[in-house]
Amino acid sequence: MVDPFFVALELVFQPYVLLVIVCSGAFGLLVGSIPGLTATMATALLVPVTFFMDPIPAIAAIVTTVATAIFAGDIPGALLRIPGTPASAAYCDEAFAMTRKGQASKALGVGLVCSVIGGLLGSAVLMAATSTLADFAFKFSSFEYFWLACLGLSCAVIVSTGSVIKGFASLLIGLFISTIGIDLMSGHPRFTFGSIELLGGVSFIPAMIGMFAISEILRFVATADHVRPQIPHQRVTSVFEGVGSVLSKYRWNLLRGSSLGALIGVLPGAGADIAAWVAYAVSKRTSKEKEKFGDGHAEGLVDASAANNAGLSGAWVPALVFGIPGDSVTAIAIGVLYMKGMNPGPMIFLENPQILNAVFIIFFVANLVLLPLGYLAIRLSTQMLKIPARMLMPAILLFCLVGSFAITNSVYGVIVMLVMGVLAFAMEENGFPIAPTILGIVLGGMLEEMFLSSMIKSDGNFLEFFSRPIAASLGVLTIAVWVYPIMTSIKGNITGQNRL
Amino acid sequence: MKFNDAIIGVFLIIFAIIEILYARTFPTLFGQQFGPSEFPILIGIGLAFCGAVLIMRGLRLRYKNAIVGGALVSVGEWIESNAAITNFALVLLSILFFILAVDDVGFVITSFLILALLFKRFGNSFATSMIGAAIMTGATKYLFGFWLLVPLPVGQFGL
Repeated sequence: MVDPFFVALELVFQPYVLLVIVCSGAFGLLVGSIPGLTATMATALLVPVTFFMDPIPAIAAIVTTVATAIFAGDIPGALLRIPGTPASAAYCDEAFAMTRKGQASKALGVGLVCSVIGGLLGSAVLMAATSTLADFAFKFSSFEYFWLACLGLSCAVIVSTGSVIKGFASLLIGLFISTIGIDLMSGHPRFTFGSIELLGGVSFIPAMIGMFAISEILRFVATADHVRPQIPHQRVTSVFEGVGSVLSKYRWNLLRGSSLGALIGVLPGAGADIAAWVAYAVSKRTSKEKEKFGDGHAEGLVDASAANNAGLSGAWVPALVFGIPGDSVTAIAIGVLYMKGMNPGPMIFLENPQILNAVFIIFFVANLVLLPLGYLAIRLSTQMLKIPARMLMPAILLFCLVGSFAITNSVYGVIVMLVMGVLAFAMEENGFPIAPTILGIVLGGMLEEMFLSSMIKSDGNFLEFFSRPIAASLGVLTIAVWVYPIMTSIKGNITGQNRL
Repeated sequence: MKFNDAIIGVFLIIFAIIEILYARTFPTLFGQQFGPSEFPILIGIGLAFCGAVLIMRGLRLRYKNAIVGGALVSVGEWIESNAAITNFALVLLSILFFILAVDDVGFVITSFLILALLFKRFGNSFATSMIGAAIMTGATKYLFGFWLLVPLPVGQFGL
């Protein structure tokens, strides 16, 4: 029998897959380098195309796009002080301060190399952690999966920024949307109100395009002041000059940032953005040259830019092992895997080990490809930043329309996109985060299935949900996560700092 | 448009009540006391709880006459700009136009009209708008229609 790893190598190193990786890399760099367009939006726009691909190129396209988009967010951050993606926001000021000192090339070069190394180390963590956790996951029954899904979703709300109660409401809205359509256990239609198209449920990809792309376009047009940013007159040429000495001086920061990023990425909902903020804060707190932070000091840049790319791989750990996404991008990727008939979870280790190995290899290849593509993007950065948003936004709108249409082959997909786009815009206007809604839509079906399976097994006795040791531990932990915001709220009422 | 948390809370509670009442009409699983209504009811209870907390929070902010959340309804700065409102409405109307027209008029004409209008509205010159709309429509038709084999509607004009 051929080793799955070699089968996976053969699957990945095909001209078509490699071409998809290079094209997705270029796409990710373009979208990531344009302020206002996020890595999640890049994925949302890409998914309709991946819908028509085989699983391996589809996953390769998503992984490469996100990895390159996250790095590309550094480019406008360093040159314009506008982070291209939220993951670059943590060290945007630091990188811009370097540009003001005439070190734009160095800032971008350090960011690129650290992103590549962080991404590679994160990929190694992904490989090691998934294999270890898979053995553990085999012991899980529907009780454990139910609590794990609850815990993952709850943590995603708790660690998200803003009001916790609005995060929970956003999650519940997503869970409600996931209940629309025929109930698979009873065959009873729910909340369809006679619509034949709704019987199949709310189509996930148009919903996601609406929530991440249409809401962004609406926000863009609602901002009346579209001043073209001034690009600094600075030649960005010797990208790698001086990078070696920085990395040699801060090698431990690089290792720490990568490890921290991978670990934070594993936490549901945390993702690359939070990884970068935490790594930057840790870097500043432990630095021997604290006073230099904020004045164009490369140390924080090393930690944070390694952390955000490492965080991407980390987010795939719970996604692959348990089928529970770590962030909105992995939620989208899981949705794509489900559509391809490859349900993530421990069984994938037995049923499709070659696919799993291929995912690991893709992570390594995507991060390696980032080096030459990133170099090219830095050299072309001043040109890319000149692309006017007034040309881009209508083009993105058309892509959204066609992408949503393509999934259902009818205007139903476009209607879903419109409704979800307006909902997401209204939610964000009122301080509701939208990532929990997407997680709810993706995980709702699995959560309900595990809930009802467990209810049937326990004959309706809810105490049975705590009858197995791991289930009981996860259940208690989940309830603690639910109680935590209430306790902090009571404390906050006393101290006047209520985040609920 | 920003609503005070109390208004959102009331809306969530009303929605939750309707959702729970409707879900209670679902049948139970054969031989069981529960069924497809259980999960939606739990979601409804959760939403009602969130709504109640938001009402308390909104009223507290209003009572304290805080700057944020003091008013029941407030509009964003962009509402004060006619240009922004027009752009916002145009994007929504463009999507509605696509939904209503694409099957009859065809993808090429519908897309070209939407793009040309938006390009021009967002400040591009007439020539740039026309050329940009033609190129983008052609590229999208090629990518999705010919390469990915998506059956894009051709409408009555065969385009």
